[in-house]
Amino acid sequence: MTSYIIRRLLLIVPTVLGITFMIFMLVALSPGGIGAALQASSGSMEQTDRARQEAYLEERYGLKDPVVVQYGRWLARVSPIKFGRRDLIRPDGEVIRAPRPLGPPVLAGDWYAALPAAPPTAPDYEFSDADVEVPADAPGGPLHWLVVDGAKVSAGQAIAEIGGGDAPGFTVRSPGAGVLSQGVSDGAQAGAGASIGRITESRDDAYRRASDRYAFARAEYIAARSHLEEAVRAYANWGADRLGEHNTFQRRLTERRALLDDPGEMSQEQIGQVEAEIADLESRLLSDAEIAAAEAHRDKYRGTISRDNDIRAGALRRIGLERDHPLAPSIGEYGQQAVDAYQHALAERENLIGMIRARPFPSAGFWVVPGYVSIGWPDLGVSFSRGSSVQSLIGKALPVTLMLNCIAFPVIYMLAVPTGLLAAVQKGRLFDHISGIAVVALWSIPVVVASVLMLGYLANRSGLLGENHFPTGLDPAGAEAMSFLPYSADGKFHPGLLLSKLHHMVLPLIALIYPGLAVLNKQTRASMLDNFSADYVRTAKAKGVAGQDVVFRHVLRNSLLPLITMFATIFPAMLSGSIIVERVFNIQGMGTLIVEAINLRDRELLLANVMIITCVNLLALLLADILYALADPRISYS
Amino acid sequence: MPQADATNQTITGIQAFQGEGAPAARGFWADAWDHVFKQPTAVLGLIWVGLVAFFAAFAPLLASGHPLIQWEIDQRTSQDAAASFEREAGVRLGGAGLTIADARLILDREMARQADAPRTADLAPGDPEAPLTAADVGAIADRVRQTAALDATGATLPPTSPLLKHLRAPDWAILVFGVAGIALWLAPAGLVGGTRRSTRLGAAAAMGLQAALTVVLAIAVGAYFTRRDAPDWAREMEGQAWFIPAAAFACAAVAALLFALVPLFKSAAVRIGVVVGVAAIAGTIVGATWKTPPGSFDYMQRERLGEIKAVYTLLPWSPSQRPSDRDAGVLPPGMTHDQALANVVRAAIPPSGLRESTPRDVEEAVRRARLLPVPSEYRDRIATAIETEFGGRSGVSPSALRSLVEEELRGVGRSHPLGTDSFGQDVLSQILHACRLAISMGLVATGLAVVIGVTMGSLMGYFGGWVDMLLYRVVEMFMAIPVLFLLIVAAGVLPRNTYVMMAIIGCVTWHGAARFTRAEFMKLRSQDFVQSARSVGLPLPSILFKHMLPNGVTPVLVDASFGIAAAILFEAVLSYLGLGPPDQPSWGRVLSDAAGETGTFNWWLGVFPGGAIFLTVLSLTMVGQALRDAIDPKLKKARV
Repeated sequence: MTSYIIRRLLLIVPTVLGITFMIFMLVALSPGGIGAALQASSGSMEQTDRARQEAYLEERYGLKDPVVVQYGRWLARVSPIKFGRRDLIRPDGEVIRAPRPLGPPVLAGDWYAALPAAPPTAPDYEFSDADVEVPADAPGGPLHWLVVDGAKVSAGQAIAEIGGGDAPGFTVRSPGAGVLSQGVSDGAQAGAGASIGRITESRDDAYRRASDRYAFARAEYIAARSHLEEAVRAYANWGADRLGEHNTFQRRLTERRALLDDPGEMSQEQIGQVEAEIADLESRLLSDAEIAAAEAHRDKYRGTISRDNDIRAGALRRIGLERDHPLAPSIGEYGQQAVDAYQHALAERENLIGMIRARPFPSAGFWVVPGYVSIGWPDLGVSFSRGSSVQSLIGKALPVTLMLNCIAFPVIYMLAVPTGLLAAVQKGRLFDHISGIAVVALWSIPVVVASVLMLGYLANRSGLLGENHFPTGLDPAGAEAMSFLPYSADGKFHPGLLLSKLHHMVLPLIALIYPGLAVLNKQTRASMLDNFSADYVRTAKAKGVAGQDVVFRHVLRNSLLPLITMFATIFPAMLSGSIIVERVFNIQGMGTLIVEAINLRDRELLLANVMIITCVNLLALLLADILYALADPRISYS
Repeated sequence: MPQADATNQTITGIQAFQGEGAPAARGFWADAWDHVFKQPTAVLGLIWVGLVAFFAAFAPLLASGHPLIQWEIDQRTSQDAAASFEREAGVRLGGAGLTIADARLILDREMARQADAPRTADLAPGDPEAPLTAADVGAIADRVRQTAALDATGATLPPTSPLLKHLRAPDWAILVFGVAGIALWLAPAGLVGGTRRSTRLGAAAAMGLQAALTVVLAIAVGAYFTRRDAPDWAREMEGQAWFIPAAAFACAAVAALLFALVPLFKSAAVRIGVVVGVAAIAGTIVGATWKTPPGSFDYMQRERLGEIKAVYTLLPWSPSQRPSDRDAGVLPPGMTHDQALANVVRAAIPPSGLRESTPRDVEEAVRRARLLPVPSEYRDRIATAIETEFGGRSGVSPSALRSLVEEELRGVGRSHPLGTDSFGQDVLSQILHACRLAISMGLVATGLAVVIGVTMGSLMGYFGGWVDMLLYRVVEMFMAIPVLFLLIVAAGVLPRNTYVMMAIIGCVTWHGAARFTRAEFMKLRSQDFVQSARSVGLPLPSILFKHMLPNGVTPVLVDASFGIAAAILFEAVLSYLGLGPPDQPSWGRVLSDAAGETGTFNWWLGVFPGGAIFLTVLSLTMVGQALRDAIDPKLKKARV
């Protein structure tokens, strides 16, 4: 049995892998693809802003890599088994990872300013656990701190510096990156350890600041780089562009001259306008020498810019830059800016790396093979549409869906088994016929229709009841102020949170319950009838066992077995049904989450959602199989 | 057991062995269907499904805002002709200039309807290539006015059919091939060369499929050439005169090439003849309807103004027809537009509670009444009624005003039998037109699922071993995730159109068919006939699909009837969630309009489409159950 369970659990892994791969491919290869919504929304932005946006998407999703690589990266994050260094986890659950490498600007060192010979090195930060601990009786709350000034500064020293000096504030500098944190001491009154200035800089703030600065520097660099690339493109296309312009002018000139040759009904004024235009066009035409120069330039740089506007850096480097060309200074200028921005971004990146290397936050998971393999909680990423971690979103939505389903399930079994039993016992009589018709009708009413009609007729002021007796949404108004259990005070009944929530859930629960009820009722009846005609029942009857005992002790027990397997049929259907129910009744569960994720093309949220739902479903199926084996000693999985 | 016939004749054992006295052997499926027809619920279900299929085929003919027949009524006078000549000539003069020849063309067109129209040569004499000035145009127009030969005759012009003009290629294809196919199927055997009915049914289906393929190809090609980011050469090509016929017949040829390989008829000449004939008809249909004129539903307006006479089909509303007045939003069943029109007048009176209405407000209401888009006699009557009832009074209540106007307007406009949705589109028309989406979604998606499932399942069941293990992992993958989740993801990400949606639903729901086929093939694999087929060296496709499949496909086909119901349901749910094909009437989409955002509930938007979904699903379930009972009596015993 144990080995069977283990085998089934292991089989979940390839299934989940396959499903996520399928969904990932579907999302990535679909027209528009991931991030399309974001990229489309940036259509009207300034070029710099767009560059920043692209930098953001690139850093976060690595959209330029092949799809399989992207999937592998996602998998590595989600996998509970991690290789190499352990990640850090911020208190809010976000996983921190070292920033990705940054490519240098195109043609650096060849066409303009060279890159720095020695890249910046990461400054040494030091976070010490001891420094976080602050005596419990210390006024001003817990002391989170960061002090870096060559040497490590302890909490005591910090207190001494702040509380002891007259300066109301303090400044901490790091060697690489200027002012790193500024804190304000609010414990102005000095005393021997009695008052401690609360330093507002926590590890979290320090990390966030470093990471924000890097993000900003990176975006600046990307913008500068795109300006430079634009300049390079303009330079490489210079000859072709000039010739094209020249040809356009020439064509227009021919047209205007033809117009003058046959003035027709043109007024004197119009003729004057055309003549002025001709003069203007003539002055813009290139001389023969200029044409030759442009043609030479065009031939020289032919093919260095691809059809998709990509720069072929290798070819350009080989050809070289004409220093006396009119556009050369702009390349030098933009190049210098790009290199500066690049250097700045590198410095900030190293700063961030140094910060992370000092491990300001606890590490995720635990080592299996120290230094190489660790096991940690899967990192589901950050939802870009909601801006919070996927884990927290699912953490809120999954319990809602599971709660609905877990309430619905016992109800289904409790209602379906007795009615099915009764129908089987009364086979062919009135109750059987009525329940048979009801079952078929219930089974055929689609959940979406039933939900909409219930919402319209029951949860509406103008509905059948004249008043809205069934509020929708799951959270009652004023839930914070409610007590949990019902009570009565001042002769008035207060439902409390529990009853109030149940009241809100009535209609969604009905919508979830009735299809399963129909299926299970039918199955119970069929399986009871099957057993009624079995030999052992006839034997029992022949022995003179009481009818009641035959039904409840013999037949019912044996009929229950197939009902356990029905779990495997009903559960996925109910998960599907809860999408609709949640949507109609405005419940913030997994169904609503996944529909929102797909509408916003939120890849992380979508994949995590699919993965969780798949796992829940597979575990439920496994549970059904185990229960079956436990209930029926004839079944063994070994 | 030998059965004696009615006369109780004794027969010998040998005769009995030869089958004498026993009922004639019938096909497996014929027997099964006989059982189904004995069940009243299943028959009712079949009737409903047939009704839905009927509307699916003919809804564009039965429910359309375009009149079936329309007569234009001649109202033109020489004043109108002169004015429109001046207008058009003025436009042309501002651009490239106008010659006498151009002026003659315009005039001829303007006066084409008049047999005794003045000869244009008299009106615009001179060298045809000579340019005209604005003064010339004015002179010609004056002369047209003076001729006074054009008088409003009030005569009706020859009838046209906007309805047929606005039918699209799929409508025509269904009309032509649906009728032809049914005729071919039902025709007496003598007429069509004594072929068997099943062969003819197959031929009709093949012809229909070929035409459908042509239409789909044409739609795809048309969409490619007119998409927003089409390359320049495509745009240029699309503008050429030869493009449409060439593209239409290219599509028809591609479809014909595929279907020329289907061995339906024994004689190759007949086969090629049929295929070429279908290609010619389908190509003509596609070419003729390549560019459907954009529909504008101003017929009612023109009818009121006396410009046209029109005869409509059963339901004079198109699903996409939206009223011009915005107040005609959600109308309950049976309501005409008079309430909306009454609202226009009512709006002049301040709502009660704000302030007393003044006589000036009533004047404003009268003014608005004179502007209503209804025939002039109605307008005058309403205006007079308001003046006599409320004129010179203050404190008129808006509701009193509205009921008065409604009273006067009674009978103006056509009613919506099942009301309208929030865009003012007719609900019944949408429901009827949505039948096509539902039926085609059910059939195509399930057909696709069966094809994929049977192929995968037969491979798994026949080979077993590692092929089975590998492919079964794929099946498990699809079983592991609730189908609706997968559907929502795929439908949300992929382009939203009908064909993609069919493909999505088919590709997501195939695993049931695969599991059934796998189980059947595993049983069949070791049977003698398969062994012998293998031992004589038949090719694999022949063993799988010719020998094993007919013996193992029954459960799949029975399951398919439930699959159709499920596919229709999935389409409704996706449309409900807003993931369905846009601009396509759908039951789910109408349903999603039922619960308004302000908490109002428009019951007719919930009950009618919901009822349609429910009845269709129920019917298919009934038929499926009856079929399963007929084919698998063991299951029936367990169920009764």
